[in-house]
Amino acid sequence: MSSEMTASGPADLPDGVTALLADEAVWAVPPADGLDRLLTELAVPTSTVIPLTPRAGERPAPAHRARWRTAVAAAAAAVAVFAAGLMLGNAGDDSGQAASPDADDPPVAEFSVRGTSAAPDAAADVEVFDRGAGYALILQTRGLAPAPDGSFYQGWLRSPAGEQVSVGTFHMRGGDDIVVLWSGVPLSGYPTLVVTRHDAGGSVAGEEVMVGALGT
Amino acid sequence: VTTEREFAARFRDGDDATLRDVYERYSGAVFTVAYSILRDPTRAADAAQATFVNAWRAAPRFDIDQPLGPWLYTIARRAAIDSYRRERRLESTDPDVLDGRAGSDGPSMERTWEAWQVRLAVDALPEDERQVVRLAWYEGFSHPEIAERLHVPVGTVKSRSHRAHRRLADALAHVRVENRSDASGVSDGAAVAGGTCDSEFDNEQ
Repeated sequence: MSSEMTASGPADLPDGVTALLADEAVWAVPPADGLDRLLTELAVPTSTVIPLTPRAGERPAPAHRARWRTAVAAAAAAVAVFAAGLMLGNAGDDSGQAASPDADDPPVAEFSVRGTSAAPDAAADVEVFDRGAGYALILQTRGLAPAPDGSFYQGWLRSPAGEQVSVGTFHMRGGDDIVVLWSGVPLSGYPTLVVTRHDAGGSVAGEEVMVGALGT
Repeated sequence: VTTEREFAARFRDGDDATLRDVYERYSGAVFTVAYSILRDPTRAADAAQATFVNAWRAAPRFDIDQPLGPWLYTIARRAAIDSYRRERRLESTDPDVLDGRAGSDGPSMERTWEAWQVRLAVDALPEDERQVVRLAWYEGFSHPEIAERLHVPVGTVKSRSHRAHRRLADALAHVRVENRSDASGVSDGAAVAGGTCDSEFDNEQ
């Protein structure tokens, strides 16, 4: 501890407090997915998975951009319904109103993620949209098997220093291949998207199934 | 403006959004308590999760006339101690070893309660001030070293440090911390500094 620090202010802090300020427990960071784990265990929704099960003859054109536009529009509708519910249940709270993706706005980033050895056939194209509520990540997945009952997938954005921020959880058991995740941090600082598979109530660390970074 | 009582009432009534708010507000302090006892990030994470799960499930019985924070603290400490005891049982079945450890459940309740309060005070600091305090006290850097790391003038570091310590002193003025080594063997029901948690402990039952 520096002598300058001692001379510049902490003299009015009790010794026990200064001892605690040097204790790693006071600075220990809870796992980035702690809230998602909690919400999953308590069965509280954590992210938006857009149901896009096509009706006969209505499947969007195979061009990925067209499908993503549909996903974004569906996300907008789902978020609008969710926001309406929030407004009914929490008058005066407008936090959900700016979250709707706009199907006409261009993505701010595009990249791909590929399956790891744990899911070698999996892949996804990712478009990122900047919205008032955060960044919407639209994943057009391929070859990613539905998570078995009792397990789930989780998306993460990872910084070059290894810090991870959860962008939500999903399971793929509905038969759809498009997933919408939300991030509160920009890809400029967290350029790598990682998808992990977890057992509900299991350990913090999951198994990486897909990884990709901006610029790939 | 939502009062603390309204906030606690929403939590008691099972409002999902308030659960998120409670997590954002207290997850650091809960993790600090768990980590203080377990000294293992994975087990501390599990204990922290158990804390919020138990609190959420016990929320309907929470007395909203009592402060929420100390109630969560008691749940966090119990979750961590439960984990600590489970681990000890797995470590050894030798009665002599277990007898030798009898009554030792890690840091005292006073110590973990102080850690809880220090963590809340640190979390309430502006990010630039918290960064300086961390680099100084935890990393052990001098002001010039901090200035170099943060690419700011030494004077800026000093002013941030001064403001941060003033805030910490104000926030922790009520904490009567003794300069002592960790005690051990404090029972779960022991009173904590100020006696706040003593009465709150019943809420968990």
